[in-house]
Order: sequence, then C-alpha cells, then structure tokens
Amino acid sequence: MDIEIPYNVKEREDTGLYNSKLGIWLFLASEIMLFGALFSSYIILRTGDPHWMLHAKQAHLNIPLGTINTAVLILSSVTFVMSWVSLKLKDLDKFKMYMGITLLCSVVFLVIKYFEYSAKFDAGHYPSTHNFYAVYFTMTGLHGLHIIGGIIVNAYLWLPGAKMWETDPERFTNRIEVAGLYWHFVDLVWIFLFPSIYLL
Amino acid sequence: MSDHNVQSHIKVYWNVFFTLIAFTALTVGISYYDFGSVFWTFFIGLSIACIKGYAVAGYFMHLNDERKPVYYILALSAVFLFVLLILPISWRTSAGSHSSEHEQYIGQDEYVIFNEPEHHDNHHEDGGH
Amino acid sequence: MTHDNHQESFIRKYIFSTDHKWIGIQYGVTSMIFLLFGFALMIIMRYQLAYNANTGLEKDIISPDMYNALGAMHGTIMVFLGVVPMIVGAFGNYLVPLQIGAPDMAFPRLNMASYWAYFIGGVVMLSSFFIPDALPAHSGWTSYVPLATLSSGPGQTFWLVGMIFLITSSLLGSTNILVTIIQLRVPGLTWMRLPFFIWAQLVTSFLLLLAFPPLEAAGIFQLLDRVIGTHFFDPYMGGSVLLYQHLFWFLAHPEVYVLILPAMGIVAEIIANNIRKPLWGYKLMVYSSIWLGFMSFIVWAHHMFLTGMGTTMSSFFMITTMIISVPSVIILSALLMSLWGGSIRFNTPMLFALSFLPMFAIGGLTGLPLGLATSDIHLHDTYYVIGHFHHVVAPGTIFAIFAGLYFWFPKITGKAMNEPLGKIHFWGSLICMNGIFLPMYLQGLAGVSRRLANGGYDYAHAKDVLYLNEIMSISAFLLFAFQLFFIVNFFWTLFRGRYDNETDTNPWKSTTIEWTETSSPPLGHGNFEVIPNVYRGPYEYSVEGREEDYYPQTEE
Repeated sequence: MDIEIPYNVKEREDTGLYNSKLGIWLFLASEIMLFGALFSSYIILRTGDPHWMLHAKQAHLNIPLGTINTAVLILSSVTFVMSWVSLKLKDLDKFKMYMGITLLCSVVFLVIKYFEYSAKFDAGHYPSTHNFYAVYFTMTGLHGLHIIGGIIVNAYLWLPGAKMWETDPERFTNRIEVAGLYWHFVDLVWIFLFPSIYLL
Repeated sequence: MSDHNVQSHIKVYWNVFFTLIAFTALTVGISYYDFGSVFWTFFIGLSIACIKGYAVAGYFMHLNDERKPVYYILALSAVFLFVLLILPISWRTSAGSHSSEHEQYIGQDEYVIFNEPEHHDNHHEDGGH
Repeated sequence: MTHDNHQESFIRKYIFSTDHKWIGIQYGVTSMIFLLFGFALMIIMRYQLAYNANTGLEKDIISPDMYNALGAMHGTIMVFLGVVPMIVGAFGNYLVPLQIGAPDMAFPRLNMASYWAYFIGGVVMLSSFFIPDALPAHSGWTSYVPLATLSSGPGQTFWLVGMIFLITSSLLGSTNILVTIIQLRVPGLTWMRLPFFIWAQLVTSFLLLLAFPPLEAAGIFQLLDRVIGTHFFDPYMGGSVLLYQHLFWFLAHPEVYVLILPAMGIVAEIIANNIRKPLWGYKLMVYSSIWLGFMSFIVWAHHMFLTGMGTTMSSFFMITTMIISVPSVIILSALLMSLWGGSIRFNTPMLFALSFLPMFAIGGLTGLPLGLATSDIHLHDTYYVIGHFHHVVAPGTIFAIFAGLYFWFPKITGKAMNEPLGKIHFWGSLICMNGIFLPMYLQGLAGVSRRLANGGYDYAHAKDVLYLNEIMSISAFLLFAFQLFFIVNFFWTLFRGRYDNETDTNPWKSTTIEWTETSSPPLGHGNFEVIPNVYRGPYEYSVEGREEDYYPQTEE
C-alpha cells in the first residue's frame, strides 16, 4: 500500500532538497558523531598510555597494503560518481559497468583487510593484546562493517533494484545519488583512519 | 543537475581522483620523514587528510553546490564534533601535569603519589590525588 | 488521490504496518506495558526498602544483588523502553504528520523498521530476566565500568545488545521525524506557525540523532571488553575508566532533555487549548527550546563532578549548567504567564498539564544545587538526586503523557474517556507522587546514598530519616493502585465508550490541523481527504470579531 509522499523525487522549493537526500545527510551527521566519538576515544587512550608507541611499533601495520586499500577505496568512490553520471546521461549499461567496478573494489578492500587481520592473528596480536590493537581492530572493523553494509545496498541497486530504472528513472537516479553519499562518507572516514592509525 | 552540467563535471571528477591518489602517495611518503616535533608530524599528516577529505566531500558528495539545510546540519554536527574532540585535550591538560618523580602510573585516570614532600598546597587546584 | 482497492493481509495491516498512526499505536501500547512493568519492579524494590530483615521481617524478600538488578532494569526500562518510545515513538509518530498536514511520515517503511528494532531491543532486555541461574544487568542504568565490565553472568551483555537495537531504532526514528517536519509541511505552514509540539519534536530528534552515537561507541567498547577481553576501560592495562563516563553522559545528558521537551510540547498544546487564548511568548518558547537543545550538549560532565577532574573543567561545566537552566525557566514561565487572563477549562488533560508546571518547577529547582559543583559534593549519589530526577520525569513527563493520552484519545479512537474517573486518577497520582519523592530530598540531605538494598539502615547518618522509607513505599503502593482508575477507564472507553465521531471530530474545539481536518480516527490511507492549506498561527483563540472562540489554522 503506497501512499503518495510529496517531495520523494521532486525537490521541495524552499529547502531545495528531496526527502531521501535530506535523510541521508542527517544519517551521515550521526555517523560523524559516531566516528568522532571513536577518534576521540582513540586520542584519549593513546595520550594516556605511555606504553602505546611501544606496541604501535611492534605491530608492524602493513603500510603498503593499507595504501593500496586507500587507493582502491578512492577508485571505488570515483567509479560510484561515474555510475551516477551515467544515469544522468541515460546510459544504463555504463551505470552497470561503473557500479560493477565499485563493487569489485569494495570486495578487494575487504579481501586485503582479511589478509591484514589474519597476519595479525598469526603473529598472536589480538584486540585483547593491547589497546593499540583494540583500537586498530575496532575502528577498522566498524569501518569494515560499514563497507559491508554499503556492498549490500550497492549490490541490490546494481541488479534487482535497477529494475526501477524502467518505471521511475528519476527516482532511481536519486537512489544512486543518496547511496553514493553514504559510500563517499565511508571513503572519507578511511581517509582519516588510515593516516591516524597506520602512519601517525 | 542538467545534462550539460553533468558532462562538464566528468573531467572534474577524474581530476579529483588523480589528486586524491597523488595526495595519498604524498602522505605515505612524508610519513617516513622525521619532522622533529610530534606537533608538526600530526599537523601535516592531518592537514593532508583534511585536504583529501574536502576533495571527496566537496566534489564527489557535491557539497560545493549543496543547499542551505544541509550546510546547517553539517555546521551543527561540526560544532558538536569539535566538542567531542576538544574533550581529550582539555582532559589531559586540566587534570594536572604528572611530572613528579613521586608519582607512579597505575592507569589512565589515577596517579598515586608516594612519600609526597611537605609542600602540598600548590598541588591543590587540580583533581589529581 | 487514487486508492488501491486490494485488501491488505492482517500481517501487512497490523503487524508490519507502514501507517504512522498504527505504528504510533504500536509504540504506545508497547511502551505502556513497559512503563507498567518498570513500575512493578520499583514496587518490589520499595517493599524491600520499607520492610526487610532490619525492620522486623524474618528475612529480606530479595537479595542485594537482585535489588541491584531490579534497580538497573527499572531505570533502563523506564527511560529507554517506556518514556522515550511513548513521547517520541507514540506521540511523535502519531501526531507529527497530522499536525503538519502530511499523508504519512517521510519514510513509512523506515518507520516500521524503527518500531521493530525497538521491539526486538525490548525483548532482548526482558529476556535477561529469564537467564537460568543469572541476574539481568545489575550495574545501574548507567552501567559504569569497571563494575559493569566485571559483572557476573551474561545479564550485562544482554543489556548492551539490547541497547544497540534501541539506539538503532532511535536513529531511524529521529531521522524520519526530522525529514517529515522539514519537508512535508503543507503550504502556508511556515516555521513560526508550527504548533509548539512540533518544535519540541524537532529539537528532540536532533538531540537523539547527534547524541546517541557516542553511547553506541561506549556500548561497543564495553561489549568488546566483556566478550573478547579488550581493555578499553581497564585501568591496569592502559585503558580509561572515565572514558566510559564521558561517552555515556555525552548521550545521557541530552537524553534528559529528550525526556522533557516532548512533554513540554504536549503540555503547551493542552494549555493553549484550555485557556482559550494564544500562548504567551510563543516565539520566546521556540527560541528557548532551540537554545536548550544546543546547550544540552555541553553540560554533561556535571554528572561527573566527583571524578577528580580539574577545576577548569568543572568550572566550565558548572557555568554551562547554570546557563541551561535559563531557557527551561523561560519555557515554564511562558506557559505559566499564558494562564493570566485565560478562560480556563479544568478537564482531566488540563489538570495533568497544569500540575506539570509546579512539578517540573520543583524538579528543576532541586537540580540547581546538583549543578553547582560545591553543593554537589554533598548531594552527589544520594537520594536527593533520585528525588530531583524523578520529580521532573514522574510527576513531570509522565503526567504530560497522561495529559496527552486523555487529550488525544478522542482523536485516536473516536471515543472520549470518562471524566470523573480521570479526575480521581489525577488527584490520587499527584498526591502519591509527591508522597514518594518529596521525602527523598530529606534523606538525600541527610546523606543517604542511592542504590542501597536496605535503604540506609547500616549508616548512622541515616538513622533519623529511615522512617521515611515506609511513607514513601506506602505512597508508591497507593500510586500503583490509583493507576487502576486509568487502566479501567482506558479499556472501558475503548470497548464500551459512547461517542459519536460523525458529528464531533473536534470535541476540544482546537485550532490545530489534526483536530480540524481529520476524522476520528483519521483516514487510514493518507489522513486527509483534501490537502489542507494553512492561513494563520496555531493558537488563534478568542479572536476579535469571530463568533466561535477559536479560529482553525486551516480555515480560509
């Protein structure tokens, strides 16, 4: 039973926004607070523990792999934008290609993460070993959960969800824009996470 | 966004992409250089991250052309994010400096002072035990 | 507006409904059950406090650990499963679209998801009572570390998992309310023509949206500490105990404004309607609620004055806490001043709404010595604190809830509740509430600590005020008894109530859209036959030159 909700697709004049765009930005605002709390906790834990750098150096976080992951995520961001652009230019095939690359990049990111995590476990480094690892695993882990969430949504929009292109192309394009905002945010978090944990 | 607008943006998106990759390489490269002070290391590292972040937010997320309600929401979140991030700094600086050799670290929130010498009045203002 | 003619299955219509009115009712019924359950837990506790092995019983009816479990769950259930789902989930979901002329919330399916997340969270919390050979969470509703991290049994873990569901529900719900208010107002309904109830819901939703995530982080950290042995909060392994408190209170302080703002919104609507004149200081109230919401984010550490933070930090938080009392006093004063010159109707909703004013005033004023760091040294963690926060939430918010239920019942069901029963419910509850909470200030001033399973019996400083325990407990039992008047009234009216919704869909003669433009109950599909337009503010009562003493917002 679908009630006609105003401004679902067409923008409202005074705010200039359609509903889901406002909704996703509000959601991202709360995500900013979540990752902000995590970063704040990281700073508090790190500055209060004189043994921190000892463990940080011992951990040998894999900077090359982390760098590749950063590049992979940035690539997935630009291909996501391009998939949206393709829809604006009414090219469904290009959309599918770009979205496919985005999904591929996301999976590569997770696979690399898998290798990083298993290397840590093999070396006997667990979240319980020291807070450095607790922070590393928790922050990258939560970020990873957000990636998985994004993969699920993007995969849906790529295949079954794309049927909406035939019946309501404008609404579908908006969905891609909104999903894109979420995805770019996940990329943004990694842009700060990577240097804070791996490099600094 | 009209079709023409979108077309002209394609080049921008790819430029932003290459810029981001370049800055990533820069961040990693710079991390091997010793700046001497912790402050400058963090400042430069985080500044580069901010520049990259702005590129993603401004161009990929179209924040540069967004509407006022979104700006207000983000401004509000920025204020509270600032409060969250100020907390660690104010905590570490206000709880007093723990430099006495009579202090033993037994955990983040507690410093125990053993055999404290007579002049304890000038320690009064802070909460450290 | 086209309608689909297909019949909806029972499941789609009543279980997985996407209609905000039905979801509001789901939230309302579920939260009422939790409120009653949370109250029942307290009845057991109050019995223990008045009648235990020290007062002549052969033995305590419950162990100290069980007492702690009841206490922790009472607080958690009342706040997160009872009051907030009622004032935001029930009242918010039901009334917001109606008061702004919208056919539903902006995201109906998200609305349904938020209800079910709440439901699951509630089930998880309740199930912790049934763990074999183990207690529910028993480390206070605050779940401070290291007590909570080390607490025996899986009860605390259930609490943490339950909280994750509840926080998710809250997040989805608040996003929905915000987009609905911002985007779905009908033409002519400008910001300054919104009923104050809507403003209250708007600010509240911003608080929920931005303040909950740090608690989510704290919950995740504590869960990991308990389940996989991390040391986020373990001081001997480089962790920080106070980190938990900061993250917890960063939410929990805005949370108390979440508890009070919608209540103020409900009270404002009912007072405006029953004084038959506009509210005094509407704009002042709007700006004050925004100011209140903003400030609520920077006062949290007044709950932590005794943790040893430096004088700079405690001065900062003390100053912000003193400042935040100003907007709440402004709102209360505006409501009080509105009464002057009004034609006051003393029906049951109005009695509850009016009593909110002095009750909240007492609660608010008793907060002042707690907000001043120096006096807080004596009062922190005593019964004074319990008295303070209960006065604002119990004869405060809960009275606002009753006011709202009696007031909007005719709109939701098409039937009116019985007035005499309502008045008995009101007077009995008012007297008993004060019988429970006023003595708490005396016990607190004497130094009696909170969370003591035998009510302070072991302490010399409590000796002279111990007699108050029985008085408070008897008041609590009587309060419980008086709720029967409400419960009986509620069900009787629902099943046998006499009311003709065809002829009078606006029995209170209100000006706002939900009363003037909808049937009672409103249409199942889209609320409005015709999209209304708005031509004036929300409280145009006793306008000169008009025959009727009210001028609806939507009348041309």
